[in-house]
Amino acid sequence: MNPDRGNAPATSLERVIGVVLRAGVMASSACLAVGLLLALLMGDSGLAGILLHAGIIVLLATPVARVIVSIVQYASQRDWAFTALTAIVLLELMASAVAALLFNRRV
Amino acid sequence: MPVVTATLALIIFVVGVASGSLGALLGLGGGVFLVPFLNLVLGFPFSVAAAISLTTVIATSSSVSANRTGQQLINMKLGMLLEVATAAGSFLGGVTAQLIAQSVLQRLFGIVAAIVALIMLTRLKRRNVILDPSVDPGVLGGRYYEQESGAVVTYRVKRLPVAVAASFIAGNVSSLLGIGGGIIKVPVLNAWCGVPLRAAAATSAFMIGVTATAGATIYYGRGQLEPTLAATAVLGVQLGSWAGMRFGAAASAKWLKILMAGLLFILAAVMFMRGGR
Repeated sequence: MNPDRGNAPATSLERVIGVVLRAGVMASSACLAVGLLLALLMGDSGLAGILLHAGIIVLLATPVARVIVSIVQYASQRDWAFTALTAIVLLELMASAVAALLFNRRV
Repeated sequence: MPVVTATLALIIFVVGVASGSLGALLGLGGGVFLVPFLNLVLGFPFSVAAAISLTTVIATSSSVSANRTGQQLINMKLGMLLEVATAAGSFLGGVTAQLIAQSVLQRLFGIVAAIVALIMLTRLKRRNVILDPSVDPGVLGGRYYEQESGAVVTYRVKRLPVAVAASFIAGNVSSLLGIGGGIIKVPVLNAWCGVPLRAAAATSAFMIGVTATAGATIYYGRGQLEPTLAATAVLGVQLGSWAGMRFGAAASAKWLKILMAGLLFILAAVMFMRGGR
């Protein structure tokens, strides 16, 4: 049998996922750090709040982006079983976003 | 919601560094230490503590996994399959956390912390690796270069339903208690499902980002996530886990684990007593 079975496509998926995760962490940490500095130095300014919320939203969006990238990769490899499984994970994440919005409206 | 001051932010940053480095040393997220500190010492409501902790879990998962890609240690297929269960558990946990009393959550946390301590003391040394490179790992198995044996090792996944069930429970506990849930998945994957410890830990660390996102989104939408304190904790934990990974190799793992288990038993007892009132 071929010892590389399953590894070559997984490696390209791993690389793409690595880029997505690193970009997400860097962008959100930068927003959070600058927002935090502004909040501590200048009090509750509008810009600080925007940066802090942006940092948190980017942080929350990073795993979602990773799941979307995986769906695209599995679909392009015609691995329909894993396309479906990762799509279910995305739906579950969407369900919690919907639940969050519903709660938000009630509070 | 706690009032944010520079002193409070500094305290949370320092605690974040400490729990991040302890977590990295022990292969856990820092949530197991962060939540009790925020809840018991600083007196934050349990949901506020859990929301902050979940955001640090996401940051840790993303940065650790970004650094590990390319080593074949993360089993992406197994991880994505189990994420179906863990995200479902976490969604349900996030919704039900709003309905459960703080005292019940504290008692639950006490029980989970005690179990974590017990597992740490009896950590299985099972390796699960097959050194013969001609063995087919199957769809869900994996293959990676292992430093200990200096060879490419193979493993096959066994008892998949057990792994799925454990992931669902881990997801549920994760969003209820604000921890990653790796402490449930890693021992189960290692002891019953044939996955070597390092691959189980890497795969779990990869999954907890998705797990914690489902829970954290609900807390965020509910307005229970204080952005300034979350930012402080995230930055502290990131710095701490970086330091923990750097210096972790030098520490004696055995004594570290005994020390941590002792600390966790104390935490468990305090949480349980608070919950009992």
